[in-house]
Amino acid sequence: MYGIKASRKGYDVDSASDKQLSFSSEWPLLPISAEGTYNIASGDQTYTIINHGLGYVPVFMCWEEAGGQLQMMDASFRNVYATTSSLVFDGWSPSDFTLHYKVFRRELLKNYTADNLVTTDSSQSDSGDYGIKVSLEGKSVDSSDMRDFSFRSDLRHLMIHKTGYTTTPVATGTVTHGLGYKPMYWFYVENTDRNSAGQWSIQQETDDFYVSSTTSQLTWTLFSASQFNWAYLIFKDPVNQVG
Amino acid sequence: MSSKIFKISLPGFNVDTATPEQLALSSDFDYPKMKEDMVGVVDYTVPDPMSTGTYTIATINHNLGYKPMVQCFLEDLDGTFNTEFAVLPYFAEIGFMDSNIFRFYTTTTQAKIVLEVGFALFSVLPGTRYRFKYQIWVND
Repeated sequence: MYGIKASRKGYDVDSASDKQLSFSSEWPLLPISAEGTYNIASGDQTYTIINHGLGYVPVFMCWEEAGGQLQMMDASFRNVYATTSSLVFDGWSPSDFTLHYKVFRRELLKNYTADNLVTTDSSQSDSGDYGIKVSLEGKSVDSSDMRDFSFRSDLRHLMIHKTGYTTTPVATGTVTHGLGYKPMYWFYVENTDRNSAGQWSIQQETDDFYVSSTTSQLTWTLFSASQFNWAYLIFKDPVNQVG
Repeated sequence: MSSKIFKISLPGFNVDTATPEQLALSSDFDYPKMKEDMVGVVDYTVPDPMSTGTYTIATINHNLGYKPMVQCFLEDLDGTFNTEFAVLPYFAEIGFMDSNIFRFYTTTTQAKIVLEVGFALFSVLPGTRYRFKYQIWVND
């Protein structure tokens, strides 16, 4: 059994809980496979944002920028979906905006569960300035620009705890995560009322899509006559605490 | 500069033959990442009475000089909505009156959590409490 782990700044790596780590080789992060921007014109538009060529439906996330402000894309309104070959915008917009996207090198339709290794938090006790820095190719490890790094243990990362998906359309589902806290999550849907089968879009909470959580389970509910397939990511990071 | 690779495989995979999906870390890839002081939690009670306009819930100075990727989760502390948690932007009304919205946006210097009230009359929001967990990434 080999491995490496790095604690977040201020925590002793020997006693830090899983979420107090910056990284552990026991579970994956989200490698960025492709990223960029795309100008979306007003009106009814269909654009192939990128041919990602991964051969599977990847995890992705989108943001929208207009008027000098950038926010996560309103997926309750805007329709961006991924297939095994591409990322596509297909919808109507009342005004122009710039779509920002990140496609991750991770299969969306994958059942995975990381271990819960250390669930009891440690108090901040380590004042040493230790850590690991790994720069991106062509960038100096001495750079002061955080974007030049692939990984730094003095930064927090999105550590994946659990992923999964359904293969039979349902309106509701419950996932056991066992983290001991209510975790951050991302939801995706194969919404065949809006798109075709095989087209997966981000699912955002609305007045008919609910998400609730306990310290051991995450539940989603679609209050609709329709039933869809769903995919989710659960992170080792609390949704309502700094953590 | 010579090309040197740093990579660590996930349990059960040989680092020499693992695909990118089978690696825990590879210097060939960038990852979402954030500074400790760019992650936070804010509690907020909607003013009662509430009026049309924009309420600033929190302002976070990041001074990055570019617009970073951000995300923010809302926790509905009073059970006002059907959902307990929501990713922002979230339309904060019941049924058809979707004219009030919680947003988290960033400029090149600041990120803000705001409540934009487009329709205050008959709103369920006044006096209700929410918790926001935000992240401002280093990535743009």
